[in-house]
Amino acid sequence: MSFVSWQFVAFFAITLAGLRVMPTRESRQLLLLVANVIFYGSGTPWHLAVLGVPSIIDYAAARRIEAATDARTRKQWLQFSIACNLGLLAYFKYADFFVDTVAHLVGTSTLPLLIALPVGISFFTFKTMSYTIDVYRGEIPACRSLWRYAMFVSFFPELVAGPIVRASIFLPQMDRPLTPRWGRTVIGLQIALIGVAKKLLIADRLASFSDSVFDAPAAFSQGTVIAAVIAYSLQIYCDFSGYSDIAIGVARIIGFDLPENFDMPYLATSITEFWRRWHMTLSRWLRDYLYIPLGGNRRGPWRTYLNLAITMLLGGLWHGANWTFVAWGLLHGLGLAVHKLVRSRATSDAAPRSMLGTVLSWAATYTFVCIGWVFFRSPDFATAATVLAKMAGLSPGGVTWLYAPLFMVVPAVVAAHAIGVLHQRGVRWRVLRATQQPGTGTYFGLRYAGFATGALIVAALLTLFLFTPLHHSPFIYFRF
Amino acid sequence: MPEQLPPDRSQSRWRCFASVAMGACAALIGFEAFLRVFISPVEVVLPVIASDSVAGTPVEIRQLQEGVATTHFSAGGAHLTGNAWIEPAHRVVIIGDSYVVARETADEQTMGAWLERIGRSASIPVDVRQYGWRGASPARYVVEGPAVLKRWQPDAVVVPISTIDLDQHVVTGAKPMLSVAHDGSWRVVSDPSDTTTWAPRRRARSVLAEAIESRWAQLWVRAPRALRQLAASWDAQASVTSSSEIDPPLELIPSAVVQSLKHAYGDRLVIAYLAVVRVIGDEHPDPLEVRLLDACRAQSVTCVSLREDMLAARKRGIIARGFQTTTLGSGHLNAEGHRLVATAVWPYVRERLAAAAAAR
Repeated sequence: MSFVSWQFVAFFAITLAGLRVMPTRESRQLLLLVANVIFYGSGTPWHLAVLGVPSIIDYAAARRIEAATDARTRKQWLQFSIACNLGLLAYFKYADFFVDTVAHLVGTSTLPLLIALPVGISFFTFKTMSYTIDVYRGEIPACRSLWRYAMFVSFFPELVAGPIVRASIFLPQMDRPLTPRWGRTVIGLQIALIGVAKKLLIADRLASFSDSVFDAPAAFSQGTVIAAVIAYSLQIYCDFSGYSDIAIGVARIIGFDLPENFDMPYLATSITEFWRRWHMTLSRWLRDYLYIPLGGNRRGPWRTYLNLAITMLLGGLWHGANWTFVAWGLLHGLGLAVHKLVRSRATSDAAPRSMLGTVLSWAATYTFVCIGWVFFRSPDFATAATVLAKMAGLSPGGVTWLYAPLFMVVPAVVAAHAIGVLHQRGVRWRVLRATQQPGTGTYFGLRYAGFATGALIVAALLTLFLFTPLHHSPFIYFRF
Repeated sequence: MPEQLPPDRSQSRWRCFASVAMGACAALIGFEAFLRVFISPVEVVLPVIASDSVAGTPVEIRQLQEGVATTHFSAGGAHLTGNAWIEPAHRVVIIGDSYVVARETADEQTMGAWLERIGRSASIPVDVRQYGWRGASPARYVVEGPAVLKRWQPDAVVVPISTIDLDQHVVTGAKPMLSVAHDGSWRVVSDPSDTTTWAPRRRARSVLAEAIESRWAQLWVRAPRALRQLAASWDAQASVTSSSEIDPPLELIPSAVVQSLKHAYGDRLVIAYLAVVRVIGDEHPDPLEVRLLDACRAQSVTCVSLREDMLAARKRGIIARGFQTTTLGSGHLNAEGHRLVATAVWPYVRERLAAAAAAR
């Protein structure tokens, strides 16, 4: 069930109405659990088992870990839990990939296994793994209630594409009343509406351009291919951050505060900063559960660089079962390592960077990220090579396509970022209200009533109604 | 920490409601004004060829469905070419569907405008009149034949047609339509209430209302089938008009179309087949195109397929269809596509002009 569908609007309205009439917090929690099951089961019902079985295993394993007195038993239960999760991921997501790769290496061909990928499997397995690891580390207590734990694993707003919420953040919020409140609803609706606009007005509009060019890059001119890569960079940002916004907004209406996932990533002036701003919940997950266990930066500089490369390579593989994702992850890992190396050799960290230096750093970072997106978006290396050759001007000729919506989207995105930057520098507006909760980021909404509110709401609704593409692309991260 | 903001000004509920309502109204007015820059508040211009005239004030039509374009139509519904009307000159009429209406193509970029310029640059004075009906099928061009010949006495008539003019739409679409029998004979089925009296009247409704209605219609056809059937069951009229009474073999349609057009325009006729050539692929003729070309050969009708020209243009980086706001390679012809049509049909049009000059 997509967030941008009438089915979801109806589903959410019914869920809200149910939450409103349910008399006790426990009954509202139960209703939410039922809603989660309906949401996830509405696509492929048997995938509920893929969600349910490992959840039960992790729940039991965490209880055993907590109850165990000796370190060996605790470790064994943790290993069992991780093996179950990774095994599940390996089977559903990577079996075809591994079989195909091995067959290719030995020079044979095989028929694909055609295993249907359960939506959101990458997200909920990471979520449940982090839970058992946190329990093992003693950072959180094991959840005593199976259905509270099931609620955590299956929470529908962030189930299929994040943000990746940790149990330490989510479970305490279940003690809230979970009754829709007017103030939270207004703010949540505005956040969700921002996400819908990002998805429908920008991402889906740009998708028709970038998809066409990536389908046949050799047919287009250098400028068109560069424009398509820029378009894709905006498309994936607005698609994924739009989803996160809708998830955060919907969760806020229900009564939960989810962590922010994006913080204007294309303003980053280094690749390290980019990963502090892009898909922040995944970055933190990789840092806490992969990079640091590998040794982090505690074993000397070269081991640090290697750890970064391994972490990002596996992070790339997490995104999809394709060598292009591995290349994307490795590219970012090398980028992070090189940035760390350069920074460690800089004469002084304290020296302020000039305006020109900042602009050049930003341009270099954005270009690097865009080159990464070429691998991320391309179905194979041949396509990626063609796109990169076109971008570099090594393959002249081709059709020039000046896609007008891109030239309208870029100023809009720049303006939106300018509002964010100005707010960070202390500028305030009469019309906009910045809402902020600890750890949940800053969102701009409208003050409750007034001339500008009426005008902006009507303008936003009309814009969505009149100018969204008729054909919607599925959310990009649904595939992961 | 939550941001500390000054409290909102206290307002009475009535004042609050009034200011929100005024803001909403301001947005509606703003949208109306904004859309009027791109969409003209004038009815679609339906041609009435018999009363069309070179004189008169043109009607301006603006649209943003495919790119952004401003075009001009004569009082009789002809898409003007932007070139001066000259006398004496050979007259050429282009007649077709939305490809000829070409609201998305500037006057001076239409196929008629290119044809005039090509002719005049070759010292052959040519005036072109181009009439189009959105969603029309070849039966319309046949029905209008007498009016075209009487009003303009053209030396050549160019009919651009596409796949939709050769498939079941020809015999199941809106009237007038063709009825094709199993022996290949054809007849025009007209609508007695077909009064194409054109009047470029100002809309009573706003452009915004029109845009909302149009958008709703687009969304409605994508609504669940059960919902649409439910709505249709309430509309007795809809259920009556949805039935189709004609089911000829589809392979007979191209031949019937060629026969009917030849019947209407005789030796003046030049058919231009508007192939679909996207950014990649489409190198080979589609089955309807093959049938059309076979039928034209069999009936000695001049027919030009644009496929080879479009493929050659693609090698030069030019795609004939699509606009800056739509997918390249699909949709109507863009300015380059119109130029390709004019260039492709010009040799055949010139033959007819020469023959007409010799006959005089």
